[in-house]
Amino acid sequence: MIAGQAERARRTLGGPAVYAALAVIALFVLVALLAPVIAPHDPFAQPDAATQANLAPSGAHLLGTDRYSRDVLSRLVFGARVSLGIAALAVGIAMTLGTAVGALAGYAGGWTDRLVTRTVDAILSVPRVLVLIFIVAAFPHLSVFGLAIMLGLTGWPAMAKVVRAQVRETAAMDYVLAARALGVRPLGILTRHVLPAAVPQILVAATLAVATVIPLEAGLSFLGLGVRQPTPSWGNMMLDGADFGAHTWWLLVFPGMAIVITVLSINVIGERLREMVDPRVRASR
Amino acid sequence: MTTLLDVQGLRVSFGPRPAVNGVSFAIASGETVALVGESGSGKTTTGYALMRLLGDNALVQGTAVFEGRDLFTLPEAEMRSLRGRRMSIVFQEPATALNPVMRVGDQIAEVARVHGESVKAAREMAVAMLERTGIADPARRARAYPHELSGGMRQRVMIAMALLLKPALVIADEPTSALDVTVQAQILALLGELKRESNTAILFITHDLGVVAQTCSRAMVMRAGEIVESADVETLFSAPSHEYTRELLAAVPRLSP
Repeated sequence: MIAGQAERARRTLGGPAVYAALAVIALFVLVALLAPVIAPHDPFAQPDAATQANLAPSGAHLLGTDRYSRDVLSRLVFGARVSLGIAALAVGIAMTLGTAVGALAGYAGGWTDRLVTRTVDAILSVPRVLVLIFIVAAFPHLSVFGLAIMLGLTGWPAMAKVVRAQVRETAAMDYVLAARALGVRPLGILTRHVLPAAVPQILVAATLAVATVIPLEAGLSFLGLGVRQPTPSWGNMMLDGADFGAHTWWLLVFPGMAIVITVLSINVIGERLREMVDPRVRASR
Repeated sequence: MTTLLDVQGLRVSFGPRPAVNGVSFAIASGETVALVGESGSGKTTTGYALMRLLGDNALVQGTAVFEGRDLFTLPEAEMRSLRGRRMSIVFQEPATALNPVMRVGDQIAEVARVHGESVKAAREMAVAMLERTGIADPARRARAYPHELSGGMRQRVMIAMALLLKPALVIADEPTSALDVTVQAQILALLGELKRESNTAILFITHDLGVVAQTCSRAMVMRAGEIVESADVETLFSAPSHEYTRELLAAVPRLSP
């Protein structure tokens, strides 16, 4: 009885928040995909920097204009494309590399595993922002695409750790031994028997990685080190507003809200996925 | 009868004390031999050693000549081509020895796939084999996941995998210990039937002397890593020569005094 009620309570607590989060992400992705259709103005157009700069939100510019007289809503919409696109590509790269390295280490075991684990731990002990700042300093003309790749190349160790742990656990299963006993090759065992069991964990880690990459890119762009002008990203839009502070609040609030809402939603979805996947959490339900 | 497998001086150690200590025996083609003993006697380790399934922490010594080649000196690739094709193993616990997220038909077919059959041929072989194990509606069952099957059916699937390619030797590691008594009898009958069809020899690893009496022609009694007695089943049951064998026989529970 009590267990049933608790279960129901948890479900209703988890339900609407997760659905809302999914709706938000679906909406933002749709906005990013349909940016040219949705944006009311050209995000790069500077109609008149003398008279139309830093206009507060109004009927003509729903979210105001920035210091170059560009329409903030349009830049926000195209910024979604840039910020979410970077996150997707970066996490895709990190997931692919991390899965490959983690699977290799976890399945091979022995010195391969020790070497990879130590290397990953060493990399993880260096703050990622610091590494990225160095990279940007070394390649000052990094394109948006290049930035996404760099974010991906610095993101794989965390993924590798997750995959390695799961692969090690699965590799000790009886059915893996059975597959070996029937003559299946190591690569076949890894791809058909071991990795499929890690897919849920990989998805959880990837979701949470998106929630890490978005603020990371925003932070770099806000520092002027990430996405460069005139390309809009949520982070560098806030940089535009930083000089005048509260006088041009719309330049800070709207991109800031976009970042916060996105990250919050992804975290809600990620945590929910983790609950569904993690047997320890499931067992305590 | 020709000798299929000849094991000489098999020793397996995981540390200072050997788990298997100088075991020698031979199995003829088509023969069913029991390896009997209590838990920890080294019988399962012997079976795993023959399939070369023990981890790197196991030190295996001795020779095991199977179809003319020493299993312990074969390159891994050749060993892999033997596994599932010429020799295979049925595990004790079908619930954990089947991949939970793979359809059972695909798991059976995989054995044929890895030994060179086409996807289509492998699938057909899997369904045909399921039918031979006595599973009703095999084409539909092939699409089931392990959790959708009963324990007995899962063990039939395991047997189908092990015997699909008509191997010369099957190591059956307590194949019925996890099952109900009635299902046990069916599984033993199935194993016997399939082995006769393909003239497969079986090394039957068990602690159950009832199963031994039912299925095997010869039995080897193992204790603390050594074979203490080896005899045909009638002799073993009527006139056990070793004290430990007598103890084992005395330990079988009886209903009437």
